[in-house]
Formats: sequence, C-alpha cells, structure tokens
Amino acid sequence: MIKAVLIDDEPLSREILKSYLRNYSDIEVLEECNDGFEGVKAIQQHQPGLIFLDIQMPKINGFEMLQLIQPAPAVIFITAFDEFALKAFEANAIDYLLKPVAEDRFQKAIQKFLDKSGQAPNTTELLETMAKAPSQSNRIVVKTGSKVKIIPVQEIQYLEAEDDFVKIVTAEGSFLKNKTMSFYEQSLDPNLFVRVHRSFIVHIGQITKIEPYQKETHMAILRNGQQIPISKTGYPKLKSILGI
Amino acid sequence: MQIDASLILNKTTATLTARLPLIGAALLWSGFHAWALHQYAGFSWEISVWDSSIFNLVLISTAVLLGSLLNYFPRTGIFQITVGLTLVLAVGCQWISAQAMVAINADETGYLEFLSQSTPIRWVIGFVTLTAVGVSAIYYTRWMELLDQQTRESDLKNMAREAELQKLQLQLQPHFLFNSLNSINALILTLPDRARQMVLQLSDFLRLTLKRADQPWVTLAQELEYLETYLEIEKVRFGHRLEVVLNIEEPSRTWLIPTLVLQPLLENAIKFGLYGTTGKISIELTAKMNSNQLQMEISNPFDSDMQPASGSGFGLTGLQRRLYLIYARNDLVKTNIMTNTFTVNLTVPAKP
Repeated sequence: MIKAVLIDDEPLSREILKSYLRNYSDIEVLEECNDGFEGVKAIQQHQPGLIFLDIQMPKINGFEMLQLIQPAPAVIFITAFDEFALKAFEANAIDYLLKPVAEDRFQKAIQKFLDKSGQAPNTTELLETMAKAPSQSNRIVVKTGSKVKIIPVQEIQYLEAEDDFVKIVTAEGSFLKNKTMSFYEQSLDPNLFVRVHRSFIVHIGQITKIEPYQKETHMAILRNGQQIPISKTGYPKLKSILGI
Repeated sequence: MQIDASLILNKTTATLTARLPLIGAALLWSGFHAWALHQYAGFSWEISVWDSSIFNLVLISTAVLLGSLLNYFPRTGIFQITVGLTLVLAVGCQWISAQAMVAINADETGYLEFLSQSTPIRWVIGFVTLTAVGVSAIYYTRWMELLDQQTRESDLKNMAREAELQKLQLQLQPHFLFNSLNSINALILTLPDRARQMVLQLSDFLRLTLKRADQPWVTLAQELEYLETYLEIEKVRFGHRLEVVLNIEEPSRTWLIPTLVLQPLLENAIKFGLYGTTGKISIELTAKMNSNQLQMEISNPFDSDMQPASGSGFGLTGLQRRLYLIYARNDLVKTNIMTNTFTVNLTVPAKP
C-alpha cells in the first residue's frame, strides 16, 4: 500500500486527483492539505511515499514547502502555468502535471512513479534552481520546531557555516538550514551579501566598522556589536562592493 | 490653462546657472553707463557710479519682479498686459531712482539739472529693458511647458504600447484560464450542471475582456459588471475562502473611469489575500462620490509577517504612472497598511 498526500489550495483540483486515484487500489490518500503548512505537518505525521504538490499556494509555495522536509518524498508537481518551473522540471527530469489535468497523462505519471519506486527522488537540484527564481530570491523559509518561519533576506545579519548546516542570523534569532555556503553565496543578491570568509557571508548594510586584525586579516563589526572575521581573499571582495 | 507650481519652482532653481551671463551683461551695462556719464557729461566718477548703480539696481529688481508677476496673469492678452505693466513700471523706476539720486547729490545743481533732462531717456531705457525681460520670461515659461508636455506625450505613447501588451495578457490570463478549466474538469464529474454554468460564466468573462480591449473609458457600472463575472469564477475556485463585499453608492455608477485601473487593484487584492494568508479572507470594495470625484477604497487582509513573494508594492507604481499620464496628477493612489489590512484609496477625477 502506498501512502499519498494531496497538497493543493483548490478543493476542486484535489477532487479531480482523487477521482483519478480511485482506479488505483494500492494508493491511499491519507490527507488533503490546503497549504504548505498543513502539508509539512501531514508529511511528518504520515511519512507518505508519494505527494501531489501544487506550486502556487498561500504563504509558502510548493518548492518552499519541500525545502522544509527531510528527506523529501517522491513528488508529482501540479501547476497551471509557470514557465520558470517547467524549465526546472525538464532540466531535472522530474514529473509534473499541467492543469487541467488529463487522465491519461495522470496515469503515465503514476506509472513512472511505480517503475522508479524504491529509488530516492532527486529533487535537491530542482529546489536549488527554484530558490534562485525571482519569486523566491527575496526570502528564505525555515522551520523552527513545528513552526514555519519566513525570513525576508533584508533582515538577515549574516550567515555562518556550522558543520553540514548554515546558520542564518537575524535580529530575532538564528535558524539552521540544511544548505551549503556556496548555495547562499550564489542565490543571495551579490550586491547585498558578501562571502567575507570561508565560513561567513555578511549583509553589508549591517557593517558599521572594519578593523585590521591579525596579519593580513580584518574584522567587520556589525551594528549589534557582533564581530565577523574577514579573510585575506574576502577583504578585496568586500572593498570592491563597498566602493572603498 | 493652469500654471503648474512645480514648473515655476523647477524654473527658478534650474536656471540659476543659466542666469550668470545675464548678470554679467547687467554689470557690463552698468559699467558702460557710468563711464559714458563721466566721459561725455563730464560728471565726477563718484556721481557717475552712484547714478549708474542706483538706476540699474532699481531697473534689475523691477525686471525680476516683473518676471515672477507675469506667472499670475491669464494667458489671453498677456503681451498687452506686459506692455501696459512695463510702461507703468518704467515710469516708476525712473521716479524711484531719481528720488534716491536727488537725496544723495542734493547740492550738485549741474547734476540735478541733467537728471531732470534725462527723464525721457530713462523712461525709454526702462521700457525697452523691461519689455525685453517680460517677453523672454513669457516665452521661456511656454517653452518649459512645451517640453513637459512633450515628455508626457511620449510617455503616453510608450504607455499605450505597454497597455496594448497588457491587454493581450489580460485576454489570455493563462493562470486564471487554466485553473478555471481545471475546475470545470473536476465539476463535470461531480456536478455537471455547475460545470455547464461555469463554462458560460467563463465565456461571458472572455467576451467582456475582448470587448474592453478597445474601450479606454467605461462607466463604473460597466466595470463592476465585468468584475462580478470575474468574481463568480473565482468563487467557484476559492468559494470556501473568498468573500467579496461591494459597497457601491448609486450616483457613482455612471462615473467614467479608465479601464485597467480598478480591475488590477481588485485582482491584486484577491491574489495577495488568497496567497498571502491562510484561512478565510474578505475583500471590501467601496465607491462613493466626493466633491465631484469618484472615491474608491479596496481592502484585503494582510499578514504583516509575510514577505510578499515578489513584485512587492502590489504593482502600484505602474498604476500610478498610468494615472499621472491620464490626469497629470500624482496623488490619486494612496495605500495604507493597518496591522492586518492593506487598503488602497483610489481617486478618479472627471475624464479630462
């Protein structure tokens, strides 16, 4: 028996998926969710083998929701019209359905899932591509305990590497995200965020002072007094962006 | 024709450097004046310089006064007014400067005689100078206005092109269309009658969209009819979450409004309401007449924790620009964020 969860904010859209799924006795829909928040909870609770995921949803979209789940389950994406997403799907050979959803196309997608069943779905690259989409690049979605938090990038003070995680520090506190420093170096606006050190990316608007430190290194002092080390290679990058 | 206050302001600040040659010319003329008195009338340097300084200073001040005074006169007959005003001011200039010079050089009888003899010449000099200044000021203002008008016209042309594109997009509205078709697809299975109804609603909406493509102005009632067709369809998709309250005062229904103004605002309110928050949302639209302008208010729930996904500012800058090009006013759209509500206030003046 395959456990499935439907996540789409339109009841009628879920209705059609359910009706198509009636022909599959070995797939059971355990829960229907109206948005990504409900989706995260339902996935944690049921640990489904397959989810149907709408992209355009309230507050956080399908991609942002998926980033909050480790490991990501097998996903069949559903979208009405999103050129950016379609390109990303095709580039990563991920299956998706277009609204209005045709039954034969739906069957093909299920068949593809059943054929591949047991293999880990590779959505990581897709999510990395989508995090750079214009609709998402100005915020980061994180999970703290059971709560989901949306951080506007301008509120980030700095990012710090911490083992396999990246610590995102804001005035409200810090949040861990299972990503790499180079991912954020690439996806954050390079005119606002500079990787000043192997382990630090800093928001230049937060810097009040730059002081010489040992040997050829420097230290950036943030508005809240926090000190951020600047490496020998990080210093010229920072200087060119600050125009000094 | 009204004179735009900002135009005058721009003129005074922007031309400060442009005035340097004028100031130079005035100094040169004053120097020549003093030199000629000394050389040909035989007065001492002191008297010559006093005469030149006082007369020319009064004249220049009067010219500056005239330049700004002219902005307050109506356009029709401005040249006649200038000539009349100049005659009076020229006589005034001569009189004021003569009073000052008499007071300074009270015991120089030869000079005083010369002063009264030269009165008509001073009138003529004053008249010619002031007329020249007045006429240039008028042409300068007109030229500036023409430039402003030209930029507005070319902006309007660009805008028309953009609007054309926008219309095409509105005709297509891919997201809306595909989602609606998906809903119909679902309804065919469960509620065939409702599916048929929605097909008809969608057709009505598409027909009205096409019809509007070549209607730049519609009455509020027409716009509302269109919006209600749109809302009916959205309610099928989001009926479980979406509530729209319309408060339209009767007299406002016949008011003419430009197309593509109200609709994007309502669509935005719905989109941001539906996608910016979870749970039920209520959109309110009110319209009433206020001192011969249509006053509208559109509000939607808003989550202050949320970072709008993209294009924050609700795409309002585009709307603001469009309204400026139509009405030449910048104060027609105002937004207001209360804790949980985002409100847009829209003023629609009479069709220009």
